[in-house]
Amino acid sequence: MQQEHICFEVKGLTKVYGHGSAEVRALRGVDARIYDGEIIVLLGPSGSGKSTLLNILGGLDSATDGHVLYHGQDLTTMSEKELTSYRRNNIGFVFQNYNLMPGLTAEENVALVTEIAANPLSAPEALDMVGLGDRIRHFPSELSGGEQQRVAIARAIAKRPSVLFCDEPTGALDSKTSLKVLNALNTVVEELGTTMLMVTHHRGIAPMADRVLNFRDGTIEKEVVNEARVQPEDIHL
Amino acid sequence: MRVSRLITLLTPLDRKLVRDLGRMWGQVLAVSLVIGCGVAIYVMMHGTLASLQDTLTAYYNRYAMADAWAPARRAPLQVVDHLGEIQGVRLVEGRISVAGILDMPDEAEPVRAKVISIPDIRSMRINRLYLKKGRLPERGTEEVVIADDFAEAYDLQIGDRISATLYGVKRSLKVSGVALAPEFIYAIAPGEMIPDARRYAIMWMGYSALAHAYDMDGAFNEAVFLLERGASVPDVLDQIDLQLDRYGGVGAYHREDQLSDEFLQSELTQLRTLGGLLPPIFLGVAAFLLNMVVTRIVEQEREQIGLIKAFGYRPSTIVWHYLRFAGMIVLIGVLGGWYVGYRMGGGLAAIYQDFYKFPILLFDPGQSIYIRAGLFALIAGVLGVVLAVRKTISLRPAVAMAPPAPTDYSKIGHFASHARWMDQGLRLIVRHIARWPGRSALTCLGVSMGMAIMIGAQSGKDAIDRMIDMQFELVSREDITVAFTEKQDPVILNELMAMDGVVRVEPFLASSATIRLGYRERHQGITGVVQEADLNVLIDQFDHAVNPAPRGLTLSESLAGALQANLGDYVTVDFRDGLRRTIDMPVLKIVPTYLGTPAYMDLGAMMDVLQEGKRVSGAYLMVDANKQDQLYSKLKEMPTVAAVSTKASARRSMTKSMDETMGTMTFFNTLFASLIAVGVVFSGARISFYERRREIASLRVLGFTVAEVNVVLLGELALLTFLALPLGAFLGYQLALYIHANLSSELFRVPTMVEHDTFAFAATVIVIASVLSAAVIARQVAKLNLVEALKTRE
Repeated sequence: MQQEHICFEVKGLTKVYGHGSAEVRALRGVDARIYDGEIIVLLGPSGSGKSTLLNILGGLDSATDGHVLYHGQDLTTMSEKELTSYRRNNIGFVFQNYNLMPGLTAEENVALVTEIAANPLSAPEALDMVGLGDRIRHFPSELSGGEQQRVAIARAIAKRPSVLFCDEPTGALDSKTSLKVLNALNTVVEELGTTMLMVTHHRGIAPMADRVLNFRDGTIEKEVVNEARVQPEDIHL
Repeated sequence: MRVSRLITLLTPLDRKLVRDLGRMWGQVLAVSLVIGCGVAIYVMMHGTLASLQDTLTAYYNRYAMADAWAPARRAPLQVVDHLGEIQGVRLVEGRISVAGILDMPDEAEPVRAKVISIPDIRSMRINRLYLKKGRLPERGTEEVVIADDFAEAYDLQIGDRISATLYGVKRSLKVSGVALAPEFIYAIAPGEMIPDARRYAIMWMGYSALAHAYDMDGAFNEAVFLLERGASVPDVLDQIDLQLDRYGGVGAYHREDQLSDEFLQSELTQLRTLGGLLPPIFLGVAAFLLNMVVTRIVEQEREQIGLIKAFGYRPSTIVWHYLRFAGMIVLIGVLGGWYVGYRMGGGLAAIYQDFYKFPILLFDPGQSIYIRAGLFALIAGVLGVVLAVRKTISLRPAVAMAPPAPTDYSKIGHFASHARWMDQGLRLIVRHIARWPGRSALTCLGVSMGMAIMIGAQSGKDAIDRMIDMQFELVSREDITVAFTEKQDPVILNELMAMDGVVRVEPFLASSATIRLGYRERHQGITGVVQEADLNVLIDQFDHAVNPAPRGLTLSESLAGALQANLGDYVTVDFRDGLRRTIDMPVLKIVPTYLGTPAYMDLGAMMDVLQEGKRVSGAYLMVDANKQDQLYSKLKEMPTVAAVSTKASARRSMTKSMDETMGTMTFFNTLFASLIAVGVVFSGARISFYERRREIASLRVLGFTVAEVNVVLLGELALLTFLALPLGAFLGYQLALYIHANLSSELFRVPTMVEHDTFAFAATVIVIASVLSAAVIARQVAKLNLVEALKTRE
């Protein structure tokens, strides 16, 4: 797959937690290139470094060594303020445990983002996209896990981010619900042309991606390029 | 042994305890601080109280403080023996007690003196002196022993001479000694409210010399008594009055009506009141804070609690664990509080010792006060913990271990959903408060209480200031009060009026009396005053000037209260002056007063009653300020003038003395109250931060700036603080009402008065505390590790 526009250029990225005997090398000099509009799945056992990479690319964590260029801008030299603005304008996140505000309804959770974004979808639009147009007045406590995750997706994409990061988005869900969530993700990414990086344990999700990066011990052990993306309804979990 | 080594020796739960304490040291400290304040204030106040009481008792016993006093006009010394035969009297001494005027070199105003005789040959047996320096006067000489505070005020040394006018004759008295006396711990000049050693001197002179000066050879005009244990005081006093009646007795009185003792007791009562009021509030707030902290920990450790229960630990073990956690916090607070309370109590006691002129004062609160303070703190702690742990402990292990569902906000309905103008941040704030109304209310209440204590603590001073203002601006409008040695023909008023510098003169007539209603009786001065007075004015409850009832009695509220007299009641008055008549008189007016328990009559009506002809006892003067000094010297030299007092210096010394005692206490209480406010606000903010770390992190991930997140997080604190301000002002005012009601005594009535400044100060402290807490929290928000925070569960 050839694409002109490089979204992320990762060079010699290293992340070390702790000191001395407690030192953990989460990333050991990772190199990678991610293009605009790609769907990337990051696979690997726990502690292999995939979430760490995601967090650094998302501006949630800092690197110990190496560089990450986002459309040519170096994230590793950005201040906390610049990183906040980077997240605010370009990035959407979806986590395993939803992280919704329990005190706000579905619509209001999405509005949280649309209020600070430059050119957002409206909250009902975003919720429609993930198939929750009829549940916008519900509080998180009144929604199922899958529904909560879809609200989280709507919230993440409502600002029309250029990149969407998903860390185990289906980790807490059964397979049927997982498919719904993956479907929602696929729909919004295709409709908005968003680049998506998804960390997962599920090998079954891999066919959804353009490329699959297999992690082991803080490095990319293997890269698999899929010929074509498979639609979520055609994959088996 | 290293700490880490120690930790390995502990049980796992103990280790958790130590680490929890270290991890949350900020909050541990905040709660300990509040507990410490409560304990310190308890130890300080009760310790001071106990020490003062013990010292007073010891002082009274050692120096044979009299049980009763019986002033008379002039009685032969043989009568002393008759008085000694009264049943219930253990010991009696006759003495001469007279008023004089001193001319102190660097004081323009005349100084009033009370001169008391001491036996020439044998030693004093009642109201003995503690001789600090020098010796007693030699027989027949004009030597005097002077009170310590007076010696200090004028830096008088042994051998110095004092120029005095005694009974109209100028004399030069030589200081032979400096002493303290138990009956003049509070040496207050007649008509004054507080001691002022520069303007009122107590001195003792040999009997023969004093008798000679006052033409009292072979006679006495005051008897002092020690009574048998268990003697019936009213009966003894009646017998004394009966014996002294024909010698001009003006009514014997018991120690509890003796001015010095009465003031001391009312001071002790005030201490007791504040000591009983403030510590429970502090400890209540501490319990609330502990509850907040422990609730937070327990909620966070829900899963662990479930796990420990699943292992087979009993709920009581778990409760015990958290109790020990709270116990450690309480212990830190109690130890700190003990120490600080001990130090401050010592300081306060030293101030009192200086103020009261006790020969000794040891600050020894006694163990029981420490134990009680500690126990109260512990109870507060246990209460806070048990309430916090109860709910989680009762959960089944499996339920406790499962992550809690998202907080259910649907309970509060779609509160704030339709307010389109609200942004999501404001909506979060409002819903969070509405979802936890109890906790929000408690936070608000905690902050309010901090503010209320500050207001209450400061308002005591406001009220006293107000009382002083009222007394000296509305009631006593004169510049100088002159008292004559004997009652004078009103012609003397013209003489006074003619003096250079005198602008206005208003006479008064005074008589000692006993006023009786039913079985209640009071030995009481009655003052005859003019209608339409300009200088010494009676006021009504709206502070408007009123006239004394033209016939009958006008009583102060405090006196009417003491006698339980209502308007229209007839009281029996035994006049001790003039023809010493006994008359039934109606109470025709009751007026509020700030000081003492005065009783008034119309001047003319009183002259009629006393049947001495036209006579006045003294006059109030308004004078030209520029000529005041010359006027003093002239007044001092008038043989008919017994005493001259000026309003300005009375006011000065009253303010000074109030600042000394009330000021110190107010300072400490305000300090502690401020600490409480800070403790509550800070703990509230920190707990809110910890509980909502996940939400904060989520917002940050969504691209909210630190400032935007702070608005959501701290907005709630700001809103609750904002709500707490009016509530705090209201509670503070209520507290002030209560404190003032308890500060009032028969000696003075404290008006309820809270200055705007006091409200403003309290509110400012709260706001500053909030801003500082917010700043600390804002820093933590900025430093928050987003990845970590997102991993923690709700």
